[in-house]
Amino acid sequence: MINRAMNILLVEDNPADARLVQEMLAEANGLAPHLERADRLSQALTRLRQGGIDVVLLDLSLPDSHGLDTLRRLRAGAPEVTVIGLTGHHDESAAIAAVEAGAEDYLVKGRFDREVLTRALRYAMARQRAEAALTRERDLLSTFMDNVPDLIYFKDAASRFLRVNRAQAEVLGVDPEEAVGKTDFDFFTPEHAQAAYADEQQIIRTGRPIVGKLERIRTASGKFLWVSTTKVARRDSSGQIVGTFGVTRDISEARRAQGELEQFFMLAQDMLCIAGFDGYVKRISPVCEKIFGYTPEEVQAQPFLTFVHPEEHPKWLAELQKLSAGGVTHEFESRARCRDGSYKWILWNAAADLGEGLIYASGRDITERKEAELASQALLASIVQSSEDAIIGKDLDGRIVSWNKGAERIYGYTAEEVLGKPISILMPSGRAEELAQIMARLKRGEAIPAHEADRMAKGGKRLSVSVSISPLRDADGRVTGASAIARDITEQKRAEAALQRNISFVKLLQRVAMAANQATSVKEAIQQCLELICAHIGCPIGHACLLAADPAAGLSPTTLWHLDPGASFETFRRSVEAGDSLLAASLVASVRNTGRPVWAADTESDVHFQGAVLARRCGIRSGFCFPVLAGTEVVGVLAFFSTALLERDDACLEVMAHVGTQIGRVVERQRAEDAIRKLNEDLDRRVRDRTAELEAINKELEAFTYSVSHDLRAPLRHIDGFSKILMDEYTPRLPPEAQKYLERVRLGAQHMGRLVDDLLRLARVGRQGLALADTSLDALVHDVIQNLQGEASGRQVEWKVGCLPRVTCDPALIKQVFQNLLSNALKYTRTRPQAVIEVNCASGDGEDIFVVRDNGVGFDMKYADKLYGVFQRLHRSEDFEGTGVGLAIVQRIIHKHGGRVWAEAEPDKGAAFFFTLGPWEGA
Amino acid sequence: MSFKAAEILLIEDSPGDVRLTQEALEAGKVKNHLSVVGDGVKAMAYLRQQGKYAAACRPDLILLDLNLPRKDGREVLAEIKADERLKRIPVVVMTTSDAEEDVLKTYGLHANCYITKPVDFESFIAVVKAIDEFWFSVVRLVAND
Repeated sequence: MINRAMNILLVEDNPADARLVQEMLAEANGLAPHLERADRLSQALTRLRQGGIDVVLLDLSLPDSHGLDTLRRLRAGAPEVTVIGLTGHHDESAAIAAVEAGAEDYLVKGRFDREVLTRALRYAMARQRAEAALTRERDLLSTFMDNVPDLIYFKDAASRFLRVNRAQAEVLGVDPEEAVGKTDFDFFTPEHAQAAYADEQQIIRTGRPIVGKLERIRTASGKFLWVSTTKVARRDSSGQIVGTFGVTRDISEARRAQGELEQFFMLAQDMLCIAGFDGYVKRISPVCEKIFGYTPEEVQAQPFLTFVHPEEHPKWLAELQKLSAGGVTHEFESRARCRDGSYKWILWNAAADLGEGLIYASGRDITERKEAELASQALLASIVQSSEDAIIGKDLDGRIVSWNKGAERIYGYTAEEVLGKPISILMPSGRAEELAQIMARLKRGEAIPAHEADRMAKGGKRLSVSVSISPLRDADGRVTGASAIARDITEQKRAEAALQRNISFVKLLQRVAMAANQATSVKEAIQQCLELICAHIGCPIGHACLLAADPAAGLSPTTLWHLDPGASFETFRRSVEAGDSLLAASLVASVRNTGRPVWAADTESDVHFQGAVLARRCGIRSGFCFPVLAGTEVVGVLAFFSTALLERDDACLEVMAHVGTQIGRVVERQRAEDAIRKLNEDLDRRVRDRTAELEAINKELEAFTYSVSHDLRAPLRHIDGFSKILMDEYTPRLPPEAQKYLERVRLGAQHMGRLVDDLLRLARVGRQGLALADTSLDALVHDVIQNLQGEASGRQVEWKVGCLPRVTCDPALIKQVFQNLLSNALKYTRTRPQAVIEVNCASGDGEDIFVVRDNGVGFDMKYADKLYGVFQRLHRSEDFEGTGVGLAIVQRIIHKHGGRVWAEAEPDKGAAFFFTLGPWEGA
Repeated sequence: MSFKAAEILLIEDSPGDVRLTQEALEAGKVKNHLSVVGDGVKAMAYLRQQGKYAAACRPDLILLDLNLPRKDGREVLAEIKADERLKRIPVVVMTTSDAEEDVLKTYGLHANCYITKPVDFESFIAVVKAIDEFWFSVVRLVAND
């Protein structure tokens, strides 16, 4: 430090004085000063703030400050720096004032030389350093004192506090400064203060310290503390005892813990026990008497193994071994003998302090729980034994370690046969992977929930079981093995499978029936069945053979196929369709001959595969086919082929037989439809032929009618006309006899003319259509009566016409009807002096019934069926003229209207003719 | 009143009917001159005054039988009604047939009257007389006004 350059700041406004100092320092030996200068206080302060200045030479009289104030201001700005005042006055009081104001030294200008200046600088520096070191020491002590949790004080010889630390002051309830000068009597109970005073005076007298004295003090806040106090004598530099120094430690927490521990030991219901590796119990909590009936003293008097159940001595020795090796005893269950000779189950936990050679243990009486547990274990064991399910224990190597009756029943092995054998004997071959996976999961501690698995019983019988497997753990939670619970579900699975199969068959049959019902042709039905069956069985190929159009040609392959994609299937199809497939031909022949389904299950041994090189080359390994039966006739064969070896399945064949019958019904239906169509066609043709025939006849009839009307009437007219001319012009030359004959000729011709006219009218009614119109029958009937007035002249005729409705009819034809009926009525009443002719209408049965009634000669009803026949007459023409066509015309007109006509009569009692009109009547 | 004899053309193939018609017309009141042709071809020649009928009179009334040889009555009627010079001559269609077809066709061809020749000779006379009177008393009087 002395060799380092001293950095000096000279604060001096007088250049001459500054120069003087500068020169003095330049000559100074061993100081190697570095001098800077400021001529203002403000300038000096600025420089000092930058640091690096060791000493300031301060002129107290500066332009910006004067006197002691200059010093104070500098100190305020730079408290650490060493200052030496410079002044022009030689004034002792000024020098003292300067030092008191913070200067290290004081020099008077003009009165110091180089030597004085150098020394002053050196001393000032040394003083400053010593002070700094002292201050540091004091600060460290204060920091320690104020932060230590212990109570620390310094007292004088009269036991007055000289100084206390913060912790002590807190206990006293004052600030540290307030305690100074006070005594314990000011803060504590007189008893405590007196005891402390006595102790301290003794130390002062004897010089011997008091160490770790246990005291109970009451703090200012009213809290009681257990403390440990150490007091020593305090000596001055000459070794004279001048007071005491004390440290007090709060040990309340430790004391409480100790007390609690003791209580715990005395009161705990579990036994707490400290034992030595020498085999004796050192201490045991009194509860042992309650458990064993032995007092702690009795227990401690004998080696503890005396109390252990003899069977368990080896277990105990092993456990002690473990403890001595630093291990821990965890839930060690053991039986201990009681005073009455009985045993109690104790659960021990223990750890050893090997340094002390002691074992610290706690033991709990678990006798009750243990007995319940043993009882339930026994129960469990009996359940396991009697369970219907197989309950199998195995170790981690997969060896069987337990085997109950259920396992024996399900798998067929006795316990003796399987214990120690690998569990794999229950697995079908090739399941090593599955077993390995199961074991791996178990080792990881995973339970394997119930799942279905294939197993093998003694003798190789395959079983389906539902099995769940759980890992077994030892007391430390390590997996040591597993237990499997298995239930035999073989029957259940079989029943389920059978049920599923039946359901699927029923569904298939339903679909087939639907397809058969909805199909519009046999081919469509077969195509759908091929698809359905292939999808159902999982066959790649399905094909149909059907009776050819010519039944004599027998069954021949159709182009109806279900074919999965594949070149070899395509090859097979071509060979079947070409009739080259021996397999297909042979199967079809079998079915045709027997009328029964055929199954070709085995490529090697089945007769149908003999020589079927192509089919085999196409990959076909099995097949089946069944007949399509119409009644008992085989009308087709459906064949299915597979590349797999399909096992013969009789249930399936039975279903297929049903399918064949269903398709057969479609065939029958189509046959029936064909027959009906053929019949219809025949009928149509016959109707057409007949119609043409009838049309031809009709034409002929028309031609006939025409020629009758034309050709027959002309000669008649000539016969009549020329007879008349003959009579008129040759009367004088003709004898009266001849004239009478000519008259006869004329009457005959005229009658024939009427016959011809009536016949023509009848024919016309048959031919022409109805010209329907709304018609007033009332007006129509009066019209007819008017026309008949000529015929009625000279006779007594009473016309009784009732209320007649308006109807829809052909008025011309209905007029003809009334004309004929009324004309008849008039004619057949001719013999009556008073003719009564009635026309009326009655409503009955929802239709109008018209009646024309007369009081004429009537007729015998037994001839009623002849009324409407053409040329049929019930009276002699000598009595009543007529052609016998009128009623035939009436009937034809009424029938044309859709109505009915009938008559009621009695000879000599008059006649009544009834008719109705068609359904459009009144419309 | 004095009238020129009515000129009547009877187109009829049946000699019996011709005779009977003549008889009936003679029984009538109207003086008439009856010309007769036996078929349709001759009838048209007559009406058009062709060939040997070049001097034939234009008839006042035509009595036409429908059933004629060579050209039948329907064709004759159609030609008459299509001929501007002839169509105004009244045509009475006389036939033994009252078949409906004949009736309709004939009316479609605008015959002026249609009658069926009755078998009964008295009726026939009555019919002819009725035509006779209608056409030569009523119609011609109107025409002459």
